[in-house]
Amino acid sequence: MSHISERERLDALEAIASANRRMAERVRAPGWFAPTLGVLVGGLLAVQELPLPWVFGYEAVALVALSLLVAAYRRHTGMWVPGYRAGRTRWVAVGAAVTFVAVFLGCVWFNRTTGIHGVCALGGATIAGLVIVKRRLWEEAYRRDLGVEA
Amino acid sequence: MPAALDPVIHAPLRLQICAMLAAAETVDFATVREMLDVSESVLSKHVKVLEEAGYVAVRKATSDHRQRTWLALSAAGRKAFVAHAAALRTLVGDVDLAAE
Repeated sequence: MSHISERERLDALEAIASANRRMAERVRAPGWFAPTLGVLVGGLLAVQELPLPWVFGYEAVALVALSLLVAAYRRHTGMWVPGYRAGRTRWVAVGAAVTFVAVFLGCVWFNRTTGIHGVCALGGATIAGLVIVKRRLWEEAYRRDLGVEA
Repeated sequence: MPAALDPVIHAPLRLQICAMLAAAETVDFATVREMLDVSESVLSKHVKVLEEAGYVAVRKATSDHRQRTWLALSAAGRKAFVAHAAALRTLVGDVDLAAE
């Protein structure tokens, strides 16, 4: 059995904290990531007032674009952290998903019942903005989960 | 009974590798190397130890005509790292490191 001193124990804890600081720095998405994600996700709602072939067409394009976006993020940061990872990040991700579904269904329902046009486009723009804000909140939550101050 | 410190994880570099992998699902080998500022051979040696212990999974994938090596903590590795970090936080004073 080898021995571990108090000094060694503190050094080990500092090594973990140092690794966490580097990860927290590295996870930052490039500037184009959140706006692109926002436009793609917001677009899913914005196209709902268009004829069905356009909706399906956009969904197919968005699916491919989202996978390309994830690949680009992984290339840029050299890592992948799931949005729903345990901790504060999960709450932000769940909050974002709930908000998205609520805005999506609310706008589609309003458009279908009132016939007023432009509601889905407005909702889509709102979602795009929310995605940008939520991404920032998620990164902040990730840093806090790792014990790193902003 | 002293809290369990894992000798496989305890080496400083391996501890940092585990901490980085614990904070993500996968991390590129080159990214870990860059963040730790160590040579490829040194990192390979430590990753091999972790892989042989069943703590790290290594996966090679080609992207943009370039082969990348992705590292991930296994379920056993994640559990061992969490236990090791918890033990480090709770231990007070000089303690013994559990035998391999």
